[in-house]
Amino acid sequence: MRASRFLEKLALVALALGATLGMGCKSYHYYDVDVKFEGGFTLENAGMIQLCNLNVSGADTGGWTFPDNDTNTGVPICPVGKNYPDLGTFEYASFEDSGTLHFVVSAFDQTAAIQANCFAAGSTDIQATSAITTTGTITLSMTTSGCAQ
Amino acid sequence: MLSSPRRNGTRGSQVGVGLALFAATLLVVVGTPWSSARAADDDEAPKAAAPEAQQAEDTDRPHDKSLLAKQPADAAVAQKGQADQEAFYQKWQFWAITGGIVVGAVALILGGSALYHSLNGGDVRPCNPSFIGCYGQGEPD
Repeated sequence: MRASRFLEKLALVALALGATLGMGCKSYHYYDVDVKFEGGFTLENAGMIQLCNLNVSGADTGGWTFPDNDTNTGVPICPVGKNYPDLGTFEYASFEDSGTLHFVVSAFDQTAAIQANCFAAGSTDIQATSAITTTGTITLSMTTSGCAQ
Repeated sequence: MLSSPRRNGTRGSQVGVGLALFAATLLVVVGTPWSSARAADDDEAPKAAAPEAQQAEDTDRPHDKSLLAKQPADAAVAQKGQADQEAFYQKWQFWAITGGIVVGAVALILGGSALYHSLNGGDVRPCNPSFIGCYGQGEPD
């Protein structure tokens, strides 16, 4: 009798603990975004790019700079080289599974990421979902309206 | 023909006399104070004629010395008594329980840490080498 009561209490505690832990459970969601140049963006124009930035806003926030080249293959990324007209794909990991993720890629013709050096930009909005991987595309075009910094 | 019933009556009286004698004997045996059946239930004081020997003067010691020698059981009892006098940290049970608690605590910490890590998303998946880069939660800055 005592043992069964103890087991009942133990089960209740385990259930409460599981529910508490379960509420705080997180899982990664990945957003793979391909960055490419629009059709009118020539190789000569692409060659002027010296620095590329990524900014995320909305459901999640953050900012990063694309590396000069791939650390594994040595292929140039930004500045642009052989990767024209497709700059490449980046992956963004987030715990968010709702809301909108706003991705902006800015390209500068100087190594300083200031508005005066803004050369090209592109953006996309991706709805955060419970899917593990969501894909998207950003098309870079020359801009006069400024870059995200 | 007339002698038969008389003979029967003689036999019946003989049986009756025999039964009467047996009953009388039984009464005497049970009724007398020296009978063993009565003495077993008797709570009278023991007779003073047979003085009881004192324990210190007990002469009923066995002549065989081997019977007085310590037996293995005595050694076991003595060892148990010695074990009872040991400090708590000298007992194997203490170390067994302590070890169990320590191992359990370590397992709990490691398991809890792993569970906490898992509940917080676990490890981010490896970055595809063909990607420009991987950013966001769990990724190195």
